[in-house]
This record gives sequence, structure tokens and C-alpha cells, in this order.
Amino acid sequence: MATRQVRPDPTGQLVPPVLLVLLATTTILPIGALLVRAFLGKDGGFVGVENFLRYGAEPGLVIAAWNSASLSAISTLIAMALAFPFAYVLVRTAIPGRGIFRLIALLPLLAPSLLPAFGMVYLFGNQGWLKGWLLGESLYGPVGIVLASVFYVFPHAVLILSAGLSAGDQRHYEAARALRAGPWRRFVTVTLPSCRYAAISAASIAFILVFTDFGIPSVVGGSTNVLATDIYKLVIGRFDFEMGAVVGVLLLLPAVVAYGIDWLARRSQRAMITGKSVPIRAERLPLRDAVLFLFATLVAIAILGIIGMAIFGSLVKFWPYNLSLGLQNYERLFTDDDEFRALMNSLVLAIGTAMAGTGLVALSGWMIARKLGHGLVRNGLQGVAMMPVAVPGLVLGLGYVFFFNNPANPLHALQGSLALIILCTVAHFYTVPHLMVVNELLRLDREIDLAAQALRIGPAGTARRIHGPVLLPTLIDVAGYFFVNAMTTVSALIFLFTAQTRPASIAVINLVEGSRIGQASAFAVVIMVLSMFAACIQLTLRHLVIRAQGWRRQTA
Amino acid sequence: MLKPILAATIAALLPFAPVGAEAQQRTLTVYSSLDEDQAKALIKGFEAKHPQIKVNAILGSTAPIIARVIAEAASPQADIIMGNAVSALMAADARGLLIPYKPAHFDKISPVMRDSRAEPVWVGIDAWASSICFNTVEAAKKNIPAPKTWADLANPVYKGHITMPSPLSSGTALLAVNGWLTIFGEKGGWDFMDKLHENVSKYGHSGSAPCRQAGSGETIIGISYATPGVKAINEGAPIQIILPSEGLGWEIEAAAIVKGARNLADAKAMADWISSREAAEISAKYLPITAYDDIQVLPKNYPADEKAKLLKMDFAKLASSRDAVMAEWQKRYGVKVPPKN
Repeated sequence: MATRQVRPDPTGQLVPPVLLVLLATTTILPIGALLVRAFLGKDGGFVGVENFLRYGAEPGLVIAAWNSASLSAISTLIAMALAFPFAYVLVRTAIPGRGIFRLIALLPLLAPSLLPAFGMVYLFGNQGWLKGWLLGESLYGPVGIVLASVFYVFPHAVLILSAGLSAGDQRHYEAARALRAGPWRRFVTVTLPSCRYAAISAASIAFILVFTDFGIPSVVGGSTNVLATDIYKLVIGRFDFEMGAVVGVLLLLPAVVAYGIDWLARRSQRAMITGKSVPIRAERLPLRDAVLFLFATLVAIAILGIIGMAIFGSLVKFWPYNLSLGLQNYERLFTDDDEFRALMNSLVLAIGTAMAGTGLVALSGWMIARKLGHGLVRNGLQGVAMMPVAVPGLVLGLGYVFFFNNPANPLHALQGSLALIILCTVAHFYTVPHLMVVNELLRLDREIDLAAQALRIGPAGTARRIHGPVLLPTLIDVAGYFFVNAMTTVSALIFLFTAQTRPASIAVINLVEGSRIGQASAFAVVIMVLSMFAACIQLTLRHLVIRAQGWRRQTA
Repeated sequence: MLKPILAATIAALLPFAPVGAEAQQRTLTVYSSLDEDQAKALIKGFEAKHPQIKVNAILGSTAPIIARVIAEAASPQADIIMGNAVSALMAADARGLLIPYKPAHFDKISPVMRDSRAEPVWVGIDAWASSICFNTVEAAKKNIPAPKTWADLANPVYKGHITMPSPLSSGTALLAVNGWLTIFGEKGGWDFMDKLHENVSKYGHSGSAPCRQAGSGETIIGISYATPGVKAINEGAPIQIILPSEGLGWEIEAAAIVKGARNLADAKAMADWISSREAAEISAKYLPITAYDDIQVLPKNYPADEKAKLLKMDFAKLASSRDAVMAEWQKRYGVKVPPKN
């Protein structure tokens, strides 16, 4: 063979380990700093699994675990059943108004979780306008948890699924058509297999998000116990960090399973875009499009109804007894210095998180998808990236305190800084964007890399000339995702914020605690509006980029 | 593609790196669970007296603030806790996280409102008591009578119409439960709660939520404390605050200095200010019971007889039985799913 060995490129060898260390410092180490307490006694000595046995003996564990598992499964099934066709509408059809639909689907992500919770209470609570729709069931309990959870995970599922569905190879469809496969057969044999990996990711993420969420069961869960509320009671109510850590470990289990499934799925995933790929052209099938349009409209109305109700609630004098409208709840935000500073802090936090997060996710997703670096490092990186989604914010935040607020830690100086809050927020929301990038890149054929190698372009060069441009729209979405989550995040930050760095999402919680519900709703609405503004920028940029990238259009 | 991203990441993080040298003004870090307006008014009063000290306040609920202090034990960030439930402060004290200090005006404070130990750790600011928020409009629709006593709440007529916080996550619930154990005795108290459990539709996490839920008609009766009820009434909620005749479980909100405070002298100055009559007069605008017995101001729409109805409670005993009460509560009511309405 006369082929010369390709010059080894330092990027592929150096960057993965550095990235692994960086990500481990912001995720695994802090989380570990808390979870290790599951195996320690109150005096800090090693006690093995004693805490687990103690927790197992606690009454209610089995019920809480069953509630967590079953409610998460039901919510995931419903959310997937709604999100899949919705994502399909967004990226595989030419139905009018897709931009609007996309924005509406993202709405639940833009609003602090309190807002939809209030919206649901106003709609389905004991004074709710649509109370009858629950057929006599109370909102407060399993019904409320499932309803609110579906609403909460829907945008996450739509994002992952639409990333997975957005590219395919038009030639597969031409071939299927030539073989006389009807639209349904084409859907089952071409579309479904091509987005299997995205569907598995979306379902795992949805399940884990519901499983670890504390906010929803605490507002509409009634007395239904779940593991995520148990951890709150143990840590916050009883100051029992050791037992809290035990629950934290239990909450990680679904993520371990999801990691295994993800690993298997990645192994079997074949490239969907090859060097000869032709971009998908949305088909027009009048009947299908009409049904899907109706479906998307109904989902959009449901989302707008819940959010709209909450906005209405922020404008009335006193729900439900005095429904005269006014802006009295909004005044405080613009007259109180502290509240205004909280808004500014949130914007800085969100922009910082979007920039740092997008950079890191682009790198880690690229390494995983393009199989750079040593296999062990890569698997470690994937594990680290998959972990944060499985960790309740409370655990992550406490872990940050234990890890960084330790004089022995060289990074101790970060304690109390906005930089630490940004790192924590990046870590907290790392998994979904990481998967979005991996999904996007996995669809590229390995052949492209081989071609690059033949041309003696190193990984960095390939990234700049091919992966970067392919990834650009997804990276814009990733930045948007980090931004809006940073605007609304609460649970991880309750131990980290200071007087100077208190973000708006915490200010909302402070208002609720002070029984200023009207003002809290108004503040939450302002946060949502700012996030919507960012989302509009995101959608516009995405649109411009895709239009500028001529190669995405079929040239034939 | 790598370099620009890395550069952008680093550039994005740089402005947020912690600044080493603070300005000339000294700073004092205060953790507080007092009502937000009350805490801000007290801080403003302090800063007026000590213009060279800038107070950085972190406000939050009772339990999360103490959990944060415990979590930060390795390198304490707070100088002083200005207002937290004494029972929660005791949890921090038991872990050795607070230091004793006898503030300047300690001796003038009403004896119940200060730490009775030889080396006092806490000094009282105000007190709050359990109460019932009762929605008169929804009750009238369902023809439900107003309860007059705690014992009334065991009446099946209230089935499905009562919400209360869980004592596992709310200090407010704990003081109600402690009140019942004081009124009805150990056995009688749990018997009462067994019957009450049949009527409760929801045990929540927040101490103020039951009054808010009563205010918006989500429940008819909320077992909570007066302040959120007063706020709801002032906003126009059709609720009545009922102080049951048997008496009220109550608790003190107090200040204590954190061990390892970076700014001990200023923390002491804050404790001195908190113990002053002037500070108590500020607190009296928010809660009627303060550290000075003779200050008698009633916030608008606040029930007048709260002070008269406070139970005589053994706080030392309650602090030591805290874990046992929680465990018993969890055993009895934490597992069973309460009946549907």
C-alpha cells in the first residue's frame, strides 16, 4: 500500500481528555461529593449500605418508588404520543404555520414552571373553569402530576425528535416510491427506523425528567408521594443529607438504564446522511396534512390555554373573586431595585450559560459522534454528559456547595460568584443539548470523514468545513435551550445564589414564599416574555442560516 | 472551529470571575427567613446606624436557609442568621454551627423571647402562631359551618375540605402538631390527628400555601398561620382567620451568629440592633408579637387575640422531640393515601 499515514492531529488526542476533566469537575465531582454521603454516617465514617437499609425500612418508600416509576412511565407515553406527530409536522411536512407551531411547542420551556402550575389550577382546580373535564377526579394527585408532567416534558421531546427527524435521505423515499410503497409503508419502513435513536433519547429524557422533578408533585401532587419529594423532605425538612443522598442515588437508577440503552442504540445507529445524500423534501398529502394540522392546532390551543390562563391570573385583581383587570402586580418589578437587579442577573446568567454551554456541548457532542480520542475517554465523556439530567437540581446544587465551598478545593474562590452559578446551570442542563448535537452528527456518513482523511484534513479541519456548517442550526437551538432554561431554573440555585447574584427565577420563589402570588405570576410572565424574545431571535437566526446554506436545498 | 469556541467560552466566563478586593465599605452577609418587607426594613434601619457596613441579605424559607447553613459548614458564608424558627436554629446549634452572644439589649427583652441558657445563642425577633384560614364564600355554597375549635376539625362535615402542610417539610405544620400534642396530650393529640387525617384532602410542603389555597377557594379550610391570611384578606379574599379556642401552637423567630463568621464584630453589631426596642417597633408593623411585651401595634386586619391564645409550650422539649414527632407522623400519615373528596 502506498498510502501515507495521515499525520496524527493533536485535536483528536488532546481535547477529549481535557474536556472530560472539565466536565467531570462541573458534574460528577460535585454530584459525587453529595452522593458519597449515602455511604457515610453522620460523623463522616464509612457505613456501607446501612443508610440504604435504614431508608428501605422507612414506611412509604415502596409506594413512593412505585408512584415515581408508574407516573413517569404514563407521562412519558402520553408526551411521546403527542410530541412525535408534532415534531413530524414541524420538520417533515409543508403544513403552513410551522414556525408558529414551533414557537408554541417551546412555550412550556420558556415559562417558569410556576406559571403553568397556576394555569392548571385556574383551569382544572377546585375553582377551575374546566373542572368538569376531569370527570370528577381531583387535579391534586396523580391526574395533576401526569397533566403537568406531559406539559413540562413536551418541548424537550419535540426538540430531540425534530432534531432526529429533520434530516433524512430523500433517495430512500424515492427508492421506496419506486418499489410502490404507499405513504404509510414509507413512513413505517423509512421514517421510523431513521429516527429510532432520537425516539429512544427523547423517551429516556422524558422519563428521567418526570422521575426527578420536584416542582410538579409539590404543587399539584396533592398527597401523592414520589421519590423526588422524599428527597426534599429529608434534606430540607430533616436536614438529613445522608438519607437525602440515598434517595439521590436511587433517582440515578433510570439514568443508568437509559445510558445502557443509549449505548446500545448508538452502536446500532447507521449513518442516515451519506456523501451522496439528498435532503428531504416535504411531501404534500392533503388528507394527512389536514389531520396533522388539526392535531397540531389542538395541541397548540391546549398549551396556549394553560399559559394564557396564568397570564390572565397575573392581570386580575384577586382570583377568583375579583376578576377586574389591572397592572398592579407588575408595578413592583419596575420600582423595586432588588427585583430589577434580579432580572438583569438572569439575563447575564442566561447569556453566559448559552455561550459556555453551547461551546462545551459542540465539543463533547462532536467527540462522541465522530469517535475521537480513546474509547474509554469517550465512554466516560458520554456517561458524564448523560448524568446531569438524572440528578435533581437540589442534589446538584447541594453537591456544588459541598464540593466548591471547601477550603481544600483549589476552585474554592469560585464560591459565591456568578461564574459558579453559570457552571452549575450549564452542568444541570447539559444532557439534552449534548444529545441534540450527537443526534445531528450521527446522521453524517463516516465516508465524509474518510474523504477528509484522504485529503489530509485533520479532525479540526473537518469540523470547520463540514461538521460546523451542518451543526450550525442545531447549535443555535442549543444556545436557545440553555438560555431559556437558565432563565427559569430554580432548584439547583437555592443554595448558590447570593445577594448580588440572585436571579429572577429565585425572586419569583421568594415572592411566592411571601404570599405575593399576583406579583409572583407577574414576574414569571415577564421572565417568559424575555425568553420568548430570545426564542424569536433563535428562530430568526436559524431561518437565516438555513437559507444562507445553499447546499441544504436540492440542486437537481 | 475549536479555537473560536474555546476563546468565546473563556471570554464569556472572565467577567464573572470573583473579584478579590472589595471596596472600602465592609460587608455583612445576613441569612433571613423573615417576611421580605420586614427583613428589608430591619436592614435599612441597621444600615442607617452603621453607614460603613453594607448588608448583603439572602432571603428564603425557614428550612432551606438552615439547610444551606448546614451545607456550608466547611466554609461558612453567612455572618448572622437574622430571623429563623428557633426549632430550626436548634438543629444548626446541635451541629455546633452557631456561637453564643448576648446582645446589648438582651436583658430588656421579654424572657420568653430569649435563649434561657447561661450562654444565649439566640435572641427573639417575633413569634408566629397556627391559625385556620376559612373561606366563607365556598363554605356558604356548601353549607359548611365555621369551626370554632381545633376539635371541630375532626367533624366529618369537613371531609375533603381541609389542607395543611406536612410537618416533614414545613415548620408551620410542626407548630400546629406540637400545639395539638400540648392541648390534647400525647395520646389525645395523635387520636385527634387520626380523625383529622380522614378530613384532610392534601398535605403540602409550604406553610403559607393552605391559607393561599383557602383565599382562592381551592380549599375551604387551610391550617396555616395568620400572616398569609392577612395578606389575602388585604387583597380581597373572602376569608376569615379563625384562632381556635383551645389555644395556638406557636414559635419564635430569632437571630443567631454563625460560627466562623468572617465579620464577627459587625455580626455582633447586627445582633445588638436586632435586640433593640427600635428594631422591635419595626417588626411590630408586620407581626403583633415581638421581643418587647409592651409594644402593642396590630397590623391591618390581623386578628387581635392571637397573643392571648398562645399556648404555654415547652420549647426545649419540643426541640428534642422534633425527630420523633416527624417519624411518628410519617408512620401514621405519610404512607396512606388520604381519602378522595
